[in-house]
Amino acid sequence: MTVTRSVGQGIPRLQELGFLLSAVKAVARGGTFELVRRGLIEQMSVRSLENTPSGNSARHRIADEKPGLYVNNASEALAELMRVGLVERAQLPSSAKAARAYAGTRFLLTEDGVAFAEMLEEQGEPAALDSLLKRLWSIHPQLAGYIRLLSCSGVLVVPSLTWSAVHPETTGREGREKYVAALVERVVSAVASGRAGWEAEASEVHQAIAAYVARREAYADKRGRPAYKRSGDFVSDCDQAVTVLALRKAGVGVDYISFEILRRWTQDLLVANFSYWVPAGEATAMRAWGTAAVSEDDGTPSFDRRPPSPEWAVRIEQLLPEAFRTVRAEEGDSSFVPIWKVRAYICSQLRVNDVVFDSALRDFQRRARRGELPFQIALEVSTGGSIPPTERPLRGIPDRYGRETLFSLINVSARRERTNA
Amino acid sequence: MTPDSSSSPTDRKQNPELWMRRHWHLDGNPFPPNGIAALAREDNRENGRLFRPEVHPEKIPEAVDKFVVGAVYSGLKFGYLWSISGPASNDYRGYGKSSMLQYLVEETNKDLGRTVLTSAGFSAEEADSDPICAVLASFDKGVNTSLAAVFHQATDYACKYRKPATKHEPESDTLAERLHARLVERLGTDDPTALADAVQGVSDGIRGRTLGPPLDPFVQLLCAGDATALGRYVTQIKSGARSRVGAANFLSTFLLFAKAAGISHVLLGCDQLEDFAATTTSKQKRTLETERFRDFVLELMPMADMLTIVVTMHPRAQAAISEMWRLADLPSMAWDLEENEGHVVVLREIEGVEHAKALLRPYLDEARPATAPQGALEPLTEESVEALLDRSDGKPRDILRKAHALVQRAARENWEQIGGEDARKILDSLALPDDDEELAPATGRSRSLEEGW
Repeated sequence: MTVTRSVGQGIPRLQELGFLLSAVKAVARGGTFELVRRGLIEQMSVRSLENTPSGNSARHRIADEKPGLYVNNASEALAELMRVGLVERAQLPSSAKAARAYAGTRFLLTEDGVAFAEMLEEQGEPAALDSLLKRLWSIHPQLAGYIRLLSCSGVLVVPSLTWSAVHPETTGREGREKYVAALVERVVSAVASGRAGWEAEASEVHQAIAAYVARREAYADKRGRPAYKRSGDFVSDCDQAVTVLALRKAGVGVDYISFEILRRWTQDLLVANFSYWVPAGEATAMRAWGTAAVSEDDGTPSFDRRPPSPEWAVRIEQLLPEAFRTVRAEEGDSSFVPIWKVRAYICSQLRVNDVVFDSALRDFQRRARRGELPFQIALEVSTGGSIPPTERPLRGIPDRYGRETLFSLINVSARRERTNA
Repeated sequence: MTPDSSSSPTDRKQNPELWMRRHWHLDGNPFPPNGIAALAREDNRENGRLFRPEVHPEKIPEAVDKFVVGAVYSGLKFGYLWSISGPASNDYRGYGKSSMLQYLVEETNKDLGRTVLTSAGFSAEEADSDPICAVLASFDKGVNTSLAAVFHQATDYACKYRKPATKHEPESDTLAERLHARLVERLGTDDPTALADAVQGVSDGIRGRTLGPPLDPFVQLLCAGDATALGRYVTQIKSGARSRVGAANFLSTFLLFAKAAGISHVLLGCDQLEDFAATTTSKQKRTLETERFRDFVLELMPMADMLTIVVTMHPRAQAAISEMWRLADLPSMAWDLEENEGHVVVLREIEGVEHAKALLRPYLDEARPATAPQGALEPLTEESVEALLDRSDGKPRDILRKAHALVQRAARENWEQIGGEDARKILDSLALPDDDEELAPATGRSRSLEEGW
């Protein structure tokens, strides 16, 4: 298999693709570097409200008062816009300290950039994102490779294993060998099923983990620090090693951080999705799947996406009771189960993005109020613990006061007929 | 604010409180501003005293069947009282769990189970041969975060709580007073020494593990029949001591007293489990306390033989402790499993206007002179009650709160009566009308890029 290597540009360390749109808007308004930076902070502050049931966005509010924060993001966003040809090339601050000198610096859109800004203004984010993806496609072969992979094979499965699954009792570093052996066995078993989207021998998996861990240990040694303070850190490195190997074996040469960024970008671009929470019994894994058909004409891609629609809502309505039962079977005795697990089950089955599920659920809320759903759904705001960082709660329909509640738990049960007293 | 000098005194509207008294013949606004029932409150609007079974006409018999009959005849140890809301609500509170639990406890104590058991179809003789009493307690986020503290609070309820008087019903005796009278009747003497000997005799008969010997001073006070001294004794236990395991011995001792009085079954209504299960309580403490539920209720005497616990349930509590609950091998609390049907009662929104009227009428009766005829809705009307029900998603707490706001506003406007159309206008000014909810703008949230597609 041909591995897509980094012959183009590396993936910029931009946690949010939306930073590019925010930066374009700021530059189009004649904004300075400082305004670009503040725009990103504002965006993250609102995003934090979106994903935090508590609504606590203090971290981002204080960021505004610290001039060094989000400098890298602002520089990266502007640099990426220069690379894709939307902003004229110019110097950018390389550190928070240097940013002060650039606070008043203004940037210029290229002709393409002006057209892009107009498209964003007039046609909205989806059209702009589609256009942006075509530009990113040409300069980031890893991104193109990842999307092609999921478009062709449909799914990529990277098995994972918790420390406690191997060591139910507290165990220190002496437990690492046994953990690695169990992980390799898990990976080989998943690969042998032929449904993982990649292939590798046990020795390759073992070697990949050993090399990854050795690099970390050497790095830590140099600084006189322990490589792994907790078992969780070791597990995380093993997971990263297997993920990078899986991607390489599937034809996408990319480092782990770049992959983390890619998988978020492709969600926003509505071309792929992923979750660690698809219920599969013992076979825990990171599962990624394509959510758009991709075709290429002379190197220019086009995407047939699956945005929210009444048709998808019907499919989700059919699948929701089964998804709830499946998740519940793994959750023990609880009447309510995490909504993100139900979402992961349905989205992975239907090969759609989270937004398709969320949109359908909001439609179900409205229909349930009118008594039009064939089952009953109950939603709850609280959680038994924190929401995993890769998942988010469901934003419900506005209540009587226009507030949109973030729900974390769901119950699906047989419909109860209303009585009229 | 200075009154408008241009308006004549005759144009000026009457003070709303005065309007309620003069025109509606009400002491004040009949409805509670908060709608949160707190047992200790003196205001009958806020202490759950005005709950009537007609609000949940099917649920009271179901709760009696499952919890009271289950405790007496089926060996039920754990019952769960849930409330579940519709899909658009984010709040499972305010459905009347606390008030209903309180009602169930007080109805049971009224005649030691006779009324509730006969309402379930048992004969008076059958009910009298298997009497039951009940106590009430609640977890909170302050002192009562342990099971021992809740047991102490249940004892406090038994020794001190008197169902408050209303304009139509007198104050009740305490449970301890009733049991004292029963014990005196059984033994044919009110000699405290003889009564205490009987309690000690029950204790001597226990062969299993206990929390320790009965608390002797407590037994003496229970048997003396002096409610004031008894109340002071129970109250003097300091908050630190209440959370220690020893505090549970108060309930244990009280159960021996009940047993001596011929009561073999005691129902403990336990509210606010979500506070015990709050994430502010450490996981280690929650685990330990969950295991204590098993020890105290299923293994230690006399609780294992006598006590049945009914807890009010909330999804948050379930999410926080269901795994520990399962590990402790305690009965499943899931409300939607067929197999749990026998020990779970689920409250839902009020759906019929008759139920809403049953909710509101006792509050109006309580606000009128005792001599006034009961059951009238004025100043509300059939139509305004329908509007209240419609605009509250059938949640009792919301209905009461909105009724408070509606009456206050109508009194300010000096209306003779509150019609349906007027009620709708006022209620819609407090919130978005149903039809517009879906179109309501989001407040303060942007969409993620993914949501733009």
